[in-house]
Parts: sequence; C-alpha cells; structure tokens
Amino acid sequence: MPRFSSSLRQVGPYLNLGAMLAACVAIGVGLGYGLDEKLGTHPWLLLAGSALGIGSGFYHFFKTINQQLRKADKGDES
Amino acid sequence: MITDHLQDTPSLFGHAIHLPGPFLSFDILGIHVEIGLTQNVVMMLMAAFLLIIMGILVRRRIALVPKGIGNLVEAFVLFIRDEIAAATMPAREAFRYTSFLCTTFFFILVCNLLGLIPYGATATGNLAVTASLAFAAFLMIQYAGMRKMGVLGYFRHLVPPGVPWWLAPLMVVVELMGVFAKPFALCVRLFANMLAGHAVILSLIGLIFLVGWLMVVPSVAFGVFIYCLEIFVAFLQAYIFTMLTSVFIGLLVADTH
Repeated sequence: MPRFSSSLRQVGPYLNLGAMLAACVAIGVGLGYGLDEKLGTHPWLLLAGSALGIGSGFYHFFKTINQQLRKADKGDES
Repeated sequence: MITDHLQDTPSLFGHAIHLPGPFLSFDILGIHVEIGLTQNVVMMLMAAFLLIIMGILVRRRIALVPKGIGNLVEAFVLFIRDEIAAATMPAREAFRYTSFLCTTFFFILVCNLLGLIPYGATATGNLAVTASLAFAAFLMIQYAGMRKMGVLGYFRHLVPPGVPWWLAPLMVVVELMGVFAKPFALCVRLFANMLAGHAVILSLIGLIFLVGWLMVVPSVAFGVFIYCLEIFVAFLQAYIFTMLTSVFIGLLVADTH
C-alpha cells in the first residue's frame, strides 16, 4: 500500500498534462470563434485564438515539466 | 434504464415519479433558465443527505480507536490529509485546506457510487454538475493564491519574473488561459469518465439487440466487467479531482517559486 500511494503521489502532477494541453487549445479556439461570431471578422480571430491556445498549451506543458524536474533535482540533492 | 443514468430528466425511477415542476424561470443574457428539481438535483441532494448522516454517525461515536464506519471514514480522511494535502503543500497550509478537499472527495465519491445503483442517475455524468464542482475548486484555488501572496501579489505573479517588458502583455494572456484551463480540464475529465463507463455498458447491451441471442453471454460478461471497473473508476476519479485541486493549490502556496 505505501508503494501504491507513493507512486500515485509521483504521478499526480503529470495526470493533468494532456488535459491541460487540450483545454488550452479548446479555450483559445472557443474564444476566437465566439469573438468572430460577435464581431463578424471571420476567420481572423479564430486563427489568432487557435495560435494563442496552442502556444499557451505548450507553454504550460513545458512549465509543468520543468517545475517537476527542478523539484526532482532538489529531492535528489537533499 | 441505462439511458436514464445519462440523461437529466425531471422525473425519477424510469419516469415513474414526476418531480415538481420548475419553481423559477427567467431569461438571462438571452438564455432561458428554469430552476427546479431534476433527477440529478435529487441525486445530489441524496448524496449530501447521506454525507450529513455519515458525519453525524461518525461524530457521535468518536473514539481514540474508531470502529465500524468511523474507522472507514478515518482511513479516507487520513489518506487525504497525509497523502494528498501534505504531499503537495507545506504542512501548515495542508491542514487549512484538508476540510475542503475532504468535502470535494466525499461528495464526488458518493455521487459516483449513487450513479452505479440501478434506477439511479450519475449526477457527476452531467457537465453542469462537474462544471459547478470545478468552479468551486477554481474559487478555492484563487482564494488560496490571494491569501498567500495578497491580491496585488497574486496578479503580479501572472507575469513570471525575468520576462522582457514587451512580452509581458502576452504572458498575462497565456497565464490567464492556464488559470482557466485547469478547472476546465478538471470538469471535462470527471464528466467524460463518468459518462463513458455508462455509455460503454449501454453499447454492449445494445449489441444484443443488433446481433441477436449469440451476443447475450459475451455482452453481459463484458457489461459486468465494465461495471466492476466503474466501481474502481468512481474512487479513482474522486481521488484524481481532489489530488489535482490540491496540486493546484500547492503550486500557489508553495514557499519557493
């Protein structure tokens, strides 16, 4: 049991990686599409929103991984 | 009977009981809103009622070495405090947020398990319910961040240190998207997982009608297997929702950045 819970604890932060990437893209695309509908600027805001969503998705992906790697390094040293 | 688990209808037990109609209906921002009892609302009220009864029972028989239901609840609460809260944030903060995490965990767990009872309904298999849960988690995460860093400090934290000034506005947008994407992911994950299990069972049973009596044995066998898997998923999803909420709070209240 201790082994099971410790592995769950280690895997915890990574559980959200994929979903975060998808959620960022979805929010970006949704925002761009909605604004396009409202302002009648098809398709430019949709494209800009997608680019922003994909960019921020990758940004958060690497941010989380870097944070975890730094934490793991610190854990090794102490 | 299975489709009843997936839908949100204003009736109970396969339309045998009709719930009292909408108490309030109004238009807001061009959307027609009706507030009243539906199947999922009844299920959530039932979950809340069960949890209150559980709380009273546990409170009455409090003892140094708990027995029966007290023992069961203590095991869960200790797991949440030590393995979820204390593992993701500093000890002092962990005690502060354990109560919220326990509430989330038990409510989602009971809702998930109620959804596995025949003639029941999966409240957590409704996007509106999981969105409200994620909204509560979102408010708690923001509150935790603002309490730790102060309101101004929290908004300053949206621009990571060492970013050139011309990138700062873009970083604010990107970070804000992350802030909203976290609860969005929580909400969709719980919803999709609870819905998917029921949908798989429905498809397997549907195969019997499509293919004929040949499919009866494999379909029922797989259906029972998926049902057992769903009991595991009910616990796992409650755990994951709680764990991730705790991780997000932990990221904001951690002493070092």
